[in-house]
Amino acid sequence: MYLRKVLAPLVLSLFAMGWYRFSEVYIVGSDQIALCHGNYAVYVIPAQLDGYLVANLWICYSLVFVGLSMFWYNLVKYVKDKGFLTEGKGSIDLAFPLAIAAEIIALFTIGSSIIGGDMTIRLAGYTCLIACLMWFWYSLVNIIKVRTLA
Amino acid sequence: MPAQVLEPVFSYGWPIVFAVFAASGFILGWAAQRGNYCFVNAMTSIFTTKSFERFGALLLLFGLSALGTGLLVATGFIPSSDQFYFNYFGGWYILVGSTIFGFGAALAGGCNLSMLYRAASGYVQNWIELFGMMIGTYIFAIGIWPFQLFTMEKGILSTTAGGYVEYLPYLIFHSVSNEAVLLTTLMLAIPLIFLGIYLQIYTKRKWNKVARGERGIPGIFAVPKLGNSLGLPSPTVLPEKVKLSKEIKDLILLRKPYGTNLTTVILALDIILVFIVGAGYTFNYLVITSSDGGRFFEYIMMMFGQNLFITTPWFNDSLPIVDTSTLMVVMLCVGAFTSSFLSGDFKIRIPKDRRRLLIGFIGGILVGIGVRMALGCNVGLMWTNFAQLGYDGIIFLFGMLSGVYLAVKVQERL
Repeated sequence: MYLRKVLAPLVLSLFAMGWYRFSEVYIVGSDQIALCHGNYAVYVIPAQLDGYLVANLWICYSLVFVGLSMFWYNLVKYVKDKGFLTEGKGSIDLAFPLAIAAEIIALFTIGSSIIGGDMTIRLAGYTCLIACLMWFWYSLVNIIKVRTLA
Repeated sequence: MPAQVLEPVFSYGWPIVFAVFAASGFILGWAAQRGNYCFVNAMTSIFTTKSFERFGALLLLFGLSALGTGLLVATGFIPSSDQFYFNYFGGWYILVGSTIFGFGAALAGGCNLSMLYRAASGYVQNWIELFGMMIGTYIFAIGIWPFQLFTMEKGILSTTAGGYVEYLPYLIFHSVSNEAVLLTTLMLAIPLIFLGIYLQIYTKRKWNKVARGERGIPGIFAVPKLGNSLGLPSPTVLPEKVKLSKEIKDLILLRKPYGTNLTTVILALDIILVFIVGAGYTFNYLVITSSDGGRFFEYIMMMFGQNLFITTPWFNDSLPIVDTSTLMVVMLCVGAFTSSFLSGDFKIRIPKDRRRLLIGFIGGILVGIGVRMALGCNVGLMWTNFAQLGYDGIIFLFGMLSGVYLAVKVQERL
């Protein structure tokens, strides 16, 4: 049950990356072959193919991000439920928001060529990042409080 | 003669079009999985339990879709050419294909929509059905398509063109004006909606009578009325407002599946979204595996260095390498997977009776052959064609019903 919950989001992320890579290599390559053979019934015009690749790339980023978030969430639950972290229980609560923040930064670094100067997307990213950091601080304060009381 | 021109209605470009189609695929997969929405089950239940509730929901779906798209055209928001441009040919093959499809899908245990969302929820039988459908598409391409194409070109029991030729406003009023579209929309959609609601009310009344013990289920004795004669404590009755907010909370938190009618409304809104966003760009309706079964088979073969679009009939003239439906189907699976995963439904399920796998495979082959002959599946042709204000969907509906009926009779004897 836990294995399924932890592994399934990773499979989703891997599928998203695999699908994008497949599109980039095989679909683009086949379109060129169709053009060379003069088969215009199957050939896709460059504007449409580029549109597909751009949308696919963003979907890939989103799915990887969602998949990894679900993976982290389930991993934390698994570790907590199994009682592996009895002493340093708080460390996982601190690592979780930082891991998601790192994911967001990675996502925006990789996708910077597409985002360009689009402030709407950037603002959404900054908001998520700030939320993660606030979450981190909240967890930190909680841990300190619990330890002080103990 | 109406102009058959396709020009983008909105100027946002291809990335947005692909992204919205992908999002609509995600919504479709999510909602269908949560509502366990299956066209074949809706039809099977007519012949097995004499229940019309889900079939009524289907008619409601067709009616709402036709009403939504029709009103958008009638009010001039979307040009009529975007509604009829992708109307396919009509002929013998739709009736034969839909009957084969209905038979195969009922055997395999799912229509093209439920096959995909169940496969994404871990049902191995539907993986096998999907693979069978790919093989069926190949068999169709090699063995049937050349003959079918010949009859289509020569007009043997077939129209020789699609588009406005099959557009009901043009057939009835010889016009594609806003008024003609409005009248046709009302003539087609309103009866479907009322019939759908009537069938649902009729079934609910019937089941209420059964529950009250006034009437027996066909083949089963009447259920005795228990009431509170056993002295059991009666549950606390919640006020209506609290009940509704709890219901909404449960639906959002995925604790409860969606009701049939909620799913119907979500799906109808989904097709209307795609109809607007894709107008002038591409096939602006929902299209599921019917052609993509073939396309994904083509993709698999690409990895082995085989390009079917060069060597094989149908593959070489019917499918572009990629289009909006590709992402739609991929995201449908992702949506179904996500909802089943988050709600805790996701599980790899292998049927205990291994014969089900073989039946699923054979059913899948028949589904592949059937949908290709009919030029589309229950979503890409039947549901879509109601939204297109065509008549192929009506032919498909009756063909599919007869196929499902045959499969029910065959399964009773197995």
